[in-house]
Amino acid sequence: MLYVLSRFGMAAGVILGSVTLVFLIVNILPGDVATLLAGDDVPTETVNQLREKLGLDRPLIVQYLDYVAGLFQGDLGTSYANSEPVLDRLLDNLGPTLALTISSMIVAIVLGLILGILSAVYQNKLLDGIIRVLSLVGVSTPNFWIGILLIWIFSVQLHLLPSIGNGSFEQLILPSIGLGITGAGVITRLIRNSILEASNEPFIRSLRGKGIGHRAILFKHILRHALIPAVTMVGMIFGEMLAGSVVTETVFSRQGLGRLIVDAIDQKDIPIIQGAILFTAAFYVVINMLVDISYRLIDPRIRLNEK
Amino acid sequence: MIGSLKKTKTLSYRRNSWWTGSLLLLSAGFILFIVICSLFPDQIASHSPTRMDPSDALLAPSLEHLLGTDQFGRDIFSLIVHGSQQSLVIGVLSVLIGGGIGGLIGLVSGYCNNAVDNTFMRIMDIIMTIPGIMLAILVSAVLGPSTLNLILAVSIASLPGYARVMRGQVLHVKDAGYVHASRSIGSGHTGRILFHILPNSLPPMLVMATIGVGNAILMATGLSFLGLGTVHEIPDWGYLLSLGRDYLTVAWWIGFFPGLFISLFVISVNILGDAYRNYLDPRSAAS
Repeated sequence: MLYVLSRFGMAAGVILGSVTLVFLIVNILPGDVATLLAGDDVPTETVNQLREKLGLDRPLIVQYLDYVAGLFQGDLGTSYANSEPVLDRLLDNLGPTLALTISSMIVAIVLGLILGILSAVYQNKLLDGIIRVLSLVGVSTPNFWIGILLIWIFSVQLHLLPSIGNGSFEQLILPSIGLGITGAGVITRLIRNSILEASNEPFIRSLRGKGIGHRAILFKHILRHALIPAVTMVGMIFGEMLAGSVVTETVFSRQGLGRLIVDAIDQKDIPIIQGAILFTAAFYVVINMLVDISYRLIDPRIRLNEK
Repeated sequence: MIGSLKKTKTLSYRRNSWWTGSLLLLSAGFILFIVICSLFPDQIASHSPTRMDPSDALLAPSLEHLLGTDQFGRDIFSLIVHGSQQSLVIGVLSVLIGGGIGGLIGLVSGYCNNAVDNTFMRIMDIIMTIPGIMLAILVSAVLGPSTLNLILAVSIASLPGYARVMRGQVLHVKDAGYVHASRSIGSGHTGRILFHILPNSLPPMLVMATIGVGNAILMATGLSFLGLGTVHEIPDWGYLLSLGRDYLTVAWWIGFFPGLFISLFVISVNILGDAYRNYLDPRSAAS
């Protein structure tokens, strides 16, 4: 219990840190938001008026404290573009992005686990070779290109699945595969390596010496051991996918956080970008905290060390 | 099966070696080709990348236009050849900057005492919570789109990875016998770091940097796909790909080939990086 509490405290600290970092990037980098918003050929007075209106003329520390105080009340600022609260706009768009991220995560984990196990079991055979090449291609291919290829094959040529929009389950299939493939490649490689590594451990050798069957050893002992690094990776990949959804949503013209960010970039709507990034950072921290806590369930050694 | 792992190892390792060898050669060849493309684009490209001819618009790949033409009648192959410069510069420079600064942070962090180490590593933890693309989007959005800002954005996003690997290496190396020996004959901090710790910590960093070039290019093409790159007369690979998305139904080749080049390049870089790692650590090659 104490452990869980201290992890909560650490997570809160890290989130506050990323709030500060994002705030610093927005305000300390040489780009000036007011000038960026007003455009190039505008007289200085107009820029100054705009700056005053947005509260950007106040000292940095006042702006920072104001922003952080706002966060505690659920206020992430207001959008420059249409003066709506940032939080409302984020919450409106969160659903579709979470649906995409979670279904891509499922694609990545299921594909990665199956291919990784097959690859390790048939080590150095033809199947292993094919899977290794596939996973290399998976981690090396930009997911927006995979998305475009999927649209071209399944929508333009075969007319099987819808290419754009969101709402129905069919519309989720192509984007999830497009976004999930990179993660699947990473997980496949990781599972393969950790299974092979685990199968040389002394405790596996002694099990084999006792005459226990290959299948039982693989599924009961090796896999459990090999899952530990994979679980860490799942936490990291979740963050990458949340971020990758920005690109995937653009490719498939889906509504969501990603689209919101891309539109905000065009409109130079910094509060929206800032808010969306804090959302992803918070998700990332929470997921990784859950991963840390879940170790204790998978790996008894970690539980023992604490006692 | 796993049980028979030991017996087949020698045999399959030998069988694998010509195949990994030729794969390595192919990858190195492709990287060399792209480097030559970026150095001498005019000699390799079949057409001028800026020549627009409405009568040549949206032509399918043919002998005249190897990879087809885009909606303005520009030759795709020539665009890719000329665009390679931009993509390569972004990839290499962001690794040099990100790896250099990240490595320095890792070196100081690993060598110094707890307080310094803690401060640096907590900052790196915080940077890590923001996924690379998001951080890069933020930096490019605040600074405005330009090649330099794109490089800066990708560099910042890659800092924590380099810093962590370097720190781990330094922690490992700084207690080695030869470092203590050098201290016992009176070497100073600078000398010890420069001549003993740094050279012995570098190899894993070099592996990471090799693979990092591929990752940097992936991230940079993603950003310019979103429109955060520079809009030059000659588009880079990511931007070219995004142009192709709008013409998917009529001209698949505009989006297909730039993506193919990005993938092949990143695959080649990864194969080279893996081979280098296996060379440094033969144990990982055996598995």
